[in-house]
Amino acid sequence: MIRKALGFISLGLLVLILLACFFPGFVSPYQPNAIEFSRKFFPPGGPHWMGTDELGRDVLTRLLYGGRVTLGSALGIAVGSTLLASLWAGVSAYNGGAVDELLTRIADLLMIIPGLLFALLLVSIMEPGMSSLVIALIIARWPGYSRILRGQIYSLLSEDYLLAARAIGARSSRIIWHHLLPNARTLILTVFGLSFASGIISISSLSYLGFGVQLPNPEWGAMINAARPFLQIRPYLMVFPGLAIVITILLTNFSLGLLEPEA
Amino acid sequence: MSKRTTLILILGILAGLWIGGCGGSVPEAAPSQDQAEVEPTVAEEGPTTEGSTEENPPAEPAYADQITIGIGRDLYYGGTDWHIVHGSLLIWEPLIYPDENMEPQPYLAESWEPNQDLTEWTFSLKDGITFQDGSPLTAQVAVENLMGIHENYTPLPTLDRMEVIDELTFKIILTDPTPALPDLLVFFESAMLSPGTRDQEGVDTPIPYGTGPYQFVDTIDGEQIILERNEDYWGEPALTRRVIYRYIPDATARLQALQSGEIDAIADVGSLIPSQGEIIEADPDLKLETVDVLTTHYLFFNTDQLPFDDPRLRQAVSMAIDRQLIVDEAIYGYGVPGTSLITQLAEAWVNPEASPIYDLESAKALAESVLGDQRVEVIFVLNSGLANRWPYGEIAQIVQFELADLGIDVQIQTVEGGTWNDMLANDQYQISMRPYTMSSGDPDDFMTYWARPDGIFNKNYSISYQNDQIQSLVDQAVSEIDPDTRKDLYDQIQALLIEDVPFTPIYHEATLYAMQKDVYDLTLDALFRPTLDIMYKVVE
Amino acid sequence: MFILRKLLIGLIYLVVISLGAFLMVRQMPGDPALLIANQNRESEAPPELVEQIREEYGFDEPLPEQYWRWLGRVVLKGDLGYSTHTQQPVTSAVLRSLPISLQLAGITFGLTLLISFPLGLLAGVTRNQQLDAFIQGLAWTGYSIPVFLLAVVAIWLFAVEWDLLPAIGRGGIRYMVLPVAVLTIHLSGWNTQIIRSSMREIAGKPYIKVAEAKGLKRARIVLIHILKPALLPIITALLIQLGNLFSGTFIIETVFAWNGVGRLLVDSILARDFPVIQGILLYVGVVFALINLMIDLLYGYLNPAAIETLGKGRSS
Repeated sequence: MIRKALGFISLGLLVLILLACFFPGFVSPYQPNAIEFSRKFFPPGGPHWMGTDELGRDVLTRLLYGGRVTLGSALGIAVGSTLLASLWAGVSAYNGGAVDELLTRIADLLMIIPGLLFALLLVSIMEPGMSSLVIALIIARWPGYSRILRGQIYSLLSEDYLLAARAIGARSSRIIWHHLLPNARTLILTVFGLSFASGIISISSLSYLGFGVQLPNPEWGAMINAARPFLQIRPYLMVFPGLAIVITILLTNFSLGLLEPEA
Repeated sequence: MSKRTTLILILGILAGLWIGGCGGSVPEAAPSQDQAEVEPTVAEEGPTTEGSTEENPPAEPAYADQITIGIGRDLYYGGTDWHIVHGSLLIWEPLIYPDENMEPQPYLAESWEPNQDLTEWTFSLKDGITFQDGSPLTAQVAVENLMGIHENYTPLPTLDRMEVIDELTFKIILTDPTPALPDLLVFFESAMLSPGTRDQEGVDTPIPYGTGPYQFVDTIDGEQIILERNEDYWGEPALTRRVIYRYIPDATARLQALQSGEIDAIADVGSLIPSQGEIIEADPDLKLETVDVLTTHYLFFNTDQLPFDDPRLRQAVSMAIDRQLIVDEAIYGYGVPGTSLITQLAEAWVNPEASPIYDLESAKALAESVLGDQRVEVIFVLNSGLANRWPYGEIAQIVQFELADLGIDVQIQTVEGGTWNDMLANDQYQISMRPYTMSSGDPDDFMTYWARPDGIFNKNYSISYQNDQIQSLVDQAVSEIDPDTRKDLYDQIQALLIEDVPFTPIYHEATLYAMQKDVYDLTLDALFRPTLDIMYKVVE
Repeated sequence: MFILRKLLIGLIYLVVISLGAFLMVRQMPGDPALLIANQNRESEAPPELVEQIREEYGFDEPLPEQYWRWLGRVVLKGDLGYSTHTQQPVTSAVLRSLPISLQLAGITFGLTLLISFPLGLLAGVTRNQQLDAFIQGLAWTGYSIPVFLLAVVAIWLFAVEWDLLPAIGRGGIRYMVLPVAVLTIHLSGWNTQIIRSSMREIAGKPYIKVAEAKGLKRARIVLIHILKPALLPIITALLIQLGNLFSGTFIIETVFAWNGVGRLLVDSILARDFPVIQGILLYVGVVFALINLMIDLLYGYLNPAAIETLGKGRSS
């Protein structure tokens, strides 16, 4: 019961946040990129609920507009990584033998290359921006998750219904997609949640080197980064986007809990 | 294979990795670190009881044995650089160094004398100076050093040859009159290192043997550089026996190390960022200092492409940038707005009439005359490494905001260093920014690098600025013997550059540095060289 | 024999890694000769010097030639070359930063296990939904607080305000407390989730209910019937995390000024220090090869039944 309740409340709050991010006009009258030095570094409170930043821009407004980018990108990373990882792991574990060996080795090879390298290569092919970063992070992450999922799927392979399905003559792809993967549902959901969270976090780390959303556009990870020089005098500049990240990740994962099978 | 064997294998590998992890935990105990926590012993007495005005003269203040300075870069270059270490460590000294007016003054050199047409310069060295490995500083050694530096850095484009005259005298002979020769040899370009230093080919950690008040002891893990007082120094011996430089890459952590007392000072260019000044001033245990330095931050254009192939539009941009605002807001007042093409410290050469003006209305009018009612999109590319050390991100956003009024839509792209160089070289930008530090007060090197069509920055960054008039003026100025004519030429050049705007100064830098309350006489000069030899720390 | 085959595969794997790293690294934008020529300089290096460096390092040569030269040196002489950034041998650069990262990794990993195993297990099998939600909340919060923020706040509290611990640097145990603590909080969150979720996956299976119905004691069920199969993905995840730890954690190393492999790798990528990048990736390759070996052995040990796969392949 708690889980359901928590799940629905979280989902509700999440929807509210998403609505606020996509319709910020209802929450805030300000523009996210309007520089206004007379309003520089206002502390939170008053007309600026979360204060203003070093260029006089309202923090809450930037959080809302930035949320679109952050959440959208993290979703992209999560969907991409999880889909790739699940399919790869499923096909690999199901087939076993040489196919398994080959697919696993390929994943292992990719796992070693640091995400930074992918990000650099992609930026040179595409322009600097969010898309190149999202693709780079998907490529960097999915092999690790695939390895983990393969482990889980292995544990499930000996189950009877799978043998039964095979005996009936069902096609491999059908077995994988309809029977195998759904039974690793909990772990796949967790991988989804983790890649969502780690996506946001990686975006933040790499924005230090200029990757991701470009100035002056807001994005939670970039805002955290931009707040570094001011950390000791204006901690709220980093705390608010940090809180946004923590809260959103919590809400997302409790919402995902609704999809978990009953204990 | 059997389950047991498998298990043993797994545990074995795990154990191996584990031991690797904990075995590697023999703490890399930086002994100096622990020493820094031990109460330093009295080193010696002060020369004067500074600031002591009491009736009964108190005991001579005790000086700390060791001072630790935290900075944001590694000053030990090792084999990758001819100098092996940065000049700020005071390990090596130059023949020539500028004074407060940016005039080159003798340092290890005793004096110099040019001939009539400034093509031959005769240098005499100070007598009796030895390197830290015992070998003497002779004219032969000096020439070897100068030639070695020239091979690597070509500070002397007109060099013909050098001749050793006697033990302490040598001559530099040039193909053309070179009035700025002493300026071209300031600091790094006339560093003196012992011949023994060059014998360390292939050594992992070469030791620089200079003539300075501090000698190199060790680097630890690339995190620390340890210096010790040179007891045989030819000048006044240093007050503090040991100096440790700690490389702390993160600016926030660096400041926190100062606040927690783990380091005694932060003293290097860019090691304190302007927004941190406030924190230090509010802290009763710390002192904040600033110094105007020879660094200027320039905005430059790709003059080969639309839309900045039109000098009017460049001029409009320059007029639309409120430099005072940038200094006030982005760097918290720690700096000078770019009202002169070259740093205001080069007083002897600055043309006060050649000054960018801020006039938004004229800028808009000018832009309109070029663009009509069209809007144009330009790429402003930032180097993320530079942007992390200076507030380029803020400045770019301010510029973006201001240029929107002119019909110019700036798209900011932040990329890492290698990509930045690439984009500049391949014409993939319209605006960018970078700092430039003049080597002395003389505009010679600046003009050569930036204003000449074959100038390195002009070419490498695809600024592609071609102005035959300026080129001939620079050529003349570089070899003009008469100082007044030379000044006049440079005035003209500056005026032309301000009009044509291939690049424009945004602000001249003032570097912040800070130290604990009990550290005295640590100052940086305009070349951010610290006075390590006269600084001291008082202990109870 | 099994081991031999695995070793052979491991070697091929290393060669492919080195080739992949080599190719990717050389596709990075920018002229490495220019970057190397300009390091430590105020102004730009003259074009002759850049040319000279380009020739010296052979950047102009066709890629296969460059690769063979590098590979030959590594295999025949065990020489990983010299860092273009420091002129020191790559081996010593890697060996210098290795123990630092290993230390951080090892201790953090141990602590993380101590924290996340009990928590994850508990959350995974408990019927008490409040407890589950609470542990999840803790875990997600720990993981998602930006590491930089956590680190700086920790230094602020423990070093600047309370003067209990050093802010940065390395030395004895005192210097390890903050970096390890911050990293442990972050990673325990991740691990707890994986452990919980693996356990839950199995715990929900019908045969578990059957076991309960049969009257087996709960503890026995948990340990033998749930934990054992769940161990496969759990340990896979943990080992992968260990591998990631060994390749260093950039943020912690930067903030606390530790010269570990993480920082070395990022710095080398930015400086286009090809020999060091390839050297580190080789080392990471070895670590992961060992880890993968362990995972494979684990599969055999923990789940021999799974070897009988449903697909077309034979058992491994």
